[in-house]
Formats: sequence, structure tokens, C-alpha cells
Amino acid sequence: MSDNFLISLGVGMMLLLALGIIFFVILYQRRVINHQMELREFNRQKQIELMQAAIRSEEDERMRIATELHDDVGATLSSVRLFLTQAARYPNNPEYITQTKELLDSTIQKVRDISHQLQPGTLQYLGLIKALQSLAETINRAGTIQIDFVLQRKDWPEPDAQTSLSIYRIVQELVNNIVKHTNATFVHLSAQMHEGKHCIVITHNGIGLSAKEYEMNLHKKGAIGLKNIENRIKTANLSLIFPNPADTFYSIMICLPNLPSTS
Amino acid sequence: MIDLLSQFSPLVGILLGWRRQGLLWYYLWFCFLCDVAAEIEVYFSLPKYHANIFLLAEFILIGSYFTKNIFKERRHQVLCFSGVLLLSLFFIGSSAKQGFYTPNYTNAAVFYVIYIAFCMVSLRKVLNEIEHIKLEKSPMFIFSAMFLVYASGTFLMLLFKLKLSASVQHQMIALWDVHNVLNMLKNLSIARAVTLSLRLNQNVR
Repeated sequence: MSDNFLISLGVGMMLLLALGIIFFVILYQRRVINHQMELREFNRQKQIELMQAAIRSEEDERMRIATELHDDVGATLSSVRLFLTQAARYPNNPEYITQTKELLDSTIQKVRDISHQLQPGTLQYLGLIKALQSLAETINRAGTIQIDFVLQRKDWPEPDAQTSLSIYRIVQELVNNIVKHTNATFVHLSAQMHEGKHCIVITHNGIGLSAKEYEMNLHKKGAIGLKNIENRIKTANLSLIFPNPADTFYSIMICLPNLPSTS
Repeated sequence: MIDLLSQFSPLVGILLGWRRQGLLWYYLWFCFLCDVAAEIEVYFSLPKYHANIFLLAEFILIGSYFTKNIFKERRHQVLCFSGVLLLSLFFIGSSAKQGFYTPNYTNAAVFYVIYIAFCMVSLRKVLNEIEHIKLEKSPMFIFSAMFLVYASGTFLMLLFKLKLSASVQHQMIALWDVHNVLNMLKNLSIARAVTLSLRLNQNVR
């Protein structure tokens, strides 16, 4: 009798164990699927944010150019029209023609600057290194911050046009952020090697960001500039490295994927 | 009553899977035919000719099904199936030794341990691959889960079958009823698995 009881008990326990295993499989699978769906949703949200940032940035840029054209170029051309009207009324007075010529020269320079901002000619015709040198010179002329550029390797390869433009825009955005937010007085740009990769290094003496702070700021609402940088990094297959700060200097490295060096 | 339901339960899967005749469909046919043979043997007081044949054929069919579905690489399938055939030969040998018309329940218990192992590996594969968001839509999960329950319940009964037969009649009948219920659930789960496979194939086309 006790043998039968034990066998029955054994059968019951085996059945319970089997049901327990099946229950575990079902619960575990549900958990994995929920986690995967959450991850997918998070990535989708991130993609949407990046796209929205890119669109907003484009719209902001258009607005800025429209404002400059309207307020600056448009206003100057209106003054030119006024002076020409006066010049026609008083042909013997050369002052109006002289003023008109000066205004037109200023307008031509303004249009050139706007055009250069839209698409830097130096980048298109002379390459990334020359474009960065030119950028440093332009910023120095403005007088807000001291900036220099050094090419540490003569055999620096020129990336393709798309990658060069991405790097140029990233450097532009980062330097703008440094000027606006870090209280830096000095920025050093250099093209050098880092762990076998070709990198553009931006070093400054202001209050910098660590990699963790960069990630946190990237996910904040707004932060359009950082999101654009992130977009460009992903599209051009670049990497952004935040080395540990040395003394009072913070650095950011924009590294290219491995390129063959030309000697 | 439970006995009758258990004997006719394979017919559900046979009818539902008529258009797609895979290994499981043949297994259901085999189960049904063996149940009919068992009834005939009881009616005419014949020895249990079908018992060892059923246990052996079930092992080869189920072993082949699991081998085909668990292992994707050809050489793993060949290795696993060779193991199945080797165990089958061992079963034939031990059955011949004790008399082929005497059901070899003790060695058959080994088959049920193998079934339990196959089911666990199969469930692990279902978990890893996550082909279906709803597990109840996965034919492999339905079959493996139910077969695990069936094999777990039947394993000890087979191992101690002789002790059970010698014991109190009503207790043996109670345990055999449990086996019949498990058998019925197993056959219905195979029917469900066959239906789901049919639907999946139609969606793919």
C-alpha cells in the first residue's frame, strides 16, 4: 500500500514539476518580449527626437538666413534705392553715388558671408584641413575667443566630401557651444592620430563636458545642437571621444573610421 | 468512459491534419491503430502483441520529430537520430531477451526520460528563438509542453508498472485513468500543433 502511495506521490510530483517548468517558460518569454518591445519603443522615440531636431535645426537656419537677408541685405538695398533716387534728382552731387557704391560693397560682402555660411567654398575646393584653418581665422577675426589650428600629421588623409562636411559642421557646432556655454578664452584645434585613428581634437580652457554629461544633455528636451551632432556622427560613421581632462583643459575628439594614410 | 475518450482522441488530429500529413499525423494514426489493436487483444484474450511495437515505434517517430525540429545542422540531426536508433536496438535486444510478447515497460521508462530531455531542450529553443510573441501560437511549444506533462506522468507509472499491476486494483485503475487523461491531452495538443502548422504554412504561401 505504501509503495503505491509513493508511486502516486511520485507521479503527482513529476506532473507538478512539468507544469512548473511550462509556467516558468511562459512567464520568462513574456518578460523577454516585454523588454524587447520597451527597447524597440525607446529606440523609435530616440529616432523621432533626432529627426525632429534635424528638421528644427533646418528651420532655424532658414529663419536666420531669412532674417539676415531681410534685415541686413534687404535694408541695405532699400538704402541703395534711396540714394540712387537722390543721385538721379541731384546729378551734380557725387556724394550720393559714393554712398551707394559703399552700400553695394557692404551688401556684396554680406551676401558672400551668408553664402559661405550655407556652404563653405574652402571646404568644397580646398578640403577639410584648409576649411578648418579658415574657420579658425574667421573666429579669431570676430575677437570673441582665441582659436588656433595645427595639423600634427602631414600625411593626413582627406575624407570624402560628405564626411568632411559632417566633421566641419560638428566642429562648428562644438566651437559655438564652447563660446556660448564654457567661459573658455582659448580653443586649440588639431588634426592628429589617437589609438590608430585620425581625429580632430578640440581642446579648450573652459568648463567642459564628460561623456556621461554629454549623454545626459543629449536626451534633454531641446538640445538641438547636440542632437544634430549625434545625427551627423551616426550618418558619417564617426566616433566622439571625451578623454579625461588634463589640468584645466577639456578635450573632445572627433575620430574618423580607419582610413588609409597617404604619404 | 475516460478510456474510450483517450482511445478516440487521436481522431481529432487525424481529421484536422488530413491536408498536411507530417510525422505527428502518422504518430496519431499509429496511436489510434494500437488502441484498436489493444481492444481486439483484450476482447479475444490475446497476449499484448502491440505493446512493444507501440513503444518502439513511438520512440522512433517522436525521436525523429524532435531531432528534425531541435537541430538545424544536418550532422547534429544525423548524430541525434543515430542515438535514437541505437537505443531502439537496445530496446529490441532487451525485449527479445524477456520475450517479445511481454511488454518491456522498464526499458520503455528510459524512452520517457529521453522524451523529457527532448521536451526541455525544445522549450529552451522556443525561449531562445522567440519566433512567436504569443506562445500559444507556437506549434513547437504546444507539443513540447504537453508531451513533457504526458512523459512526466507516464514515466514513473512505466517504471513501477509491475509493482502497480500486483497491487490493489482500484489504485491501479485510478493511476491508469490519470494516464488516459494525459494521453487525451497529448493527442489534442498534437491536433492543435498540426492546425497551427497548417495555418503558418498558409500564411507563408
